[in-house]
Amino acid sequence: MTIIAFSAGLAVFAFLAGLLGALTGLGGGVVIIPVLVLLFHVDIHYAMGASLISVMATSTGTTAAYLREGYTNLRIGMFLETGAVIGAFVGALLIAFVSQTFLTLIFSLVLLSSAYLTVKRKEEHEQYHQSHPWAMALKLDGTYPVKKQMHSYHVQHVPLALFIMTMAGLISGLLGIGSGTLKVLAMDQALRLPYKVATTTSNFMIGITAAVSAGIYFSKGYIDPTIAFPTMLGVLVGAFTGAKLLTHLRTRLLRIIFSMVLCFIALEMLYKVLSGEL
Amino acid sequence: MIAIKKMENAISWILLLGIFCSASMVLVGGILYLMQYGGENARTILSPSAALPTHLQDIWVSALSGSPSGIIELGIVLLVFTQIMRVGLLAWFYAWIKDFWFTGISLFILLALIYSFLYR
Repeated sequence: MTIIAFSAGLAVFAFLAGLLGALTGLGGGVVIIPVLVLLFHVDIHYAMGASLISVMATSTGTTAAYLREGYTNLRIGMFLETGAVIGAFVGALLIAFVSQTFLTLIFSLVLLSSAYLTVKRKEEHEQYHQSHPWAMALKLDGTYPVKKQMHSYHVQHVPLALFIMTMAGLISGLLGIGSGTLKVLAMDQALRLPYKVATTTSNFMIGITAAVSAGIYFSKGYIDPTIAFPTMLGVLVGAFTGAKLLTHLRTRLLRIIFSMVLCFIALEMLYKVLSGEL
Repeated sequence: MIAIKKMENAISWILLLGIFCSASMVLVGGILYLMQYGGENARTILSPSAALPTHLQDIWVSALSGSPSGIIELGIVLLVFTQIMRVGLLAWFYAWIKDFWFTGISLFILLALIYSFLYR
């Protein structure tokens, strides 16, 4: 295979990753890493470096669009990000003391149950007239567009969401993955946000989280420009396409896509544990 | 409310500008790279190479010398820098509207970003 063919093939998969990332709030690493490792036989560290580029590009491109449309809640994003950052630093310190196999097993089970909870939630039947006291103190409530009209929402269970986010940071510090999935879940299941607010706010946050790791990957030389360039350009076109699509897609469909991605990640992790790869 | 909307628009513009500059550089570097090495066997890039510049100064020198991979790396550094910029802008905005809780939160995240970026 020539380098031109490799770049073109990778750009196509990167486009799909960007599209999926923009719609689910996950950033696209879930597509990029398996494609690079299994299909193109790239070393896992370089694949993770490319995945970080993909996450930052998706986050930057989509947030520019979602902020204008009024979906992203910046205050919630910044507030929860503190939990993730603290968790990530603690995770990096704990790395020598925790069994990765055990953690991967637990995390994959959490993902499977989360996939079920995501599909089960019917936000259109929920009515909240009051916000959690922390949400009122921190002014976390917001509005979002439904058919070009702005609707307001009330934020629930803030401490639980902060706890999940700290766990998200801890797990991504220990396993190097998983922060995007738990971000969406913390906002959807704990804060009870409208789904599109949860995924778009997650898209805002993941770029910051990825930038924290990118510095470390750069210093170790794991960001290979020749892999990163088709990845970044493909992802970006996909992310812009996804951002245009999001307004028109129904929440139910987005929930189903997200749950399918969660199941895929969970099964991949379970396979790693059972096959003794970890 | 109007201040918040203006702020969201400002961040949106910063992000668009950042991604446009970064993607243009990566695109130019990518085209130059493909013109030079496009016909070679991809196996050469699929095996880890040890000679990648990891310091900002080396990346800068490499990009200025016209090296395709240097230009791509500089574009990626710009992408990381865009993330730092948006948090910095938020910190400045929350300080301006005297929301000290969120100024503190933004500064904390900004410090974590800068620390990891300069971490060696």
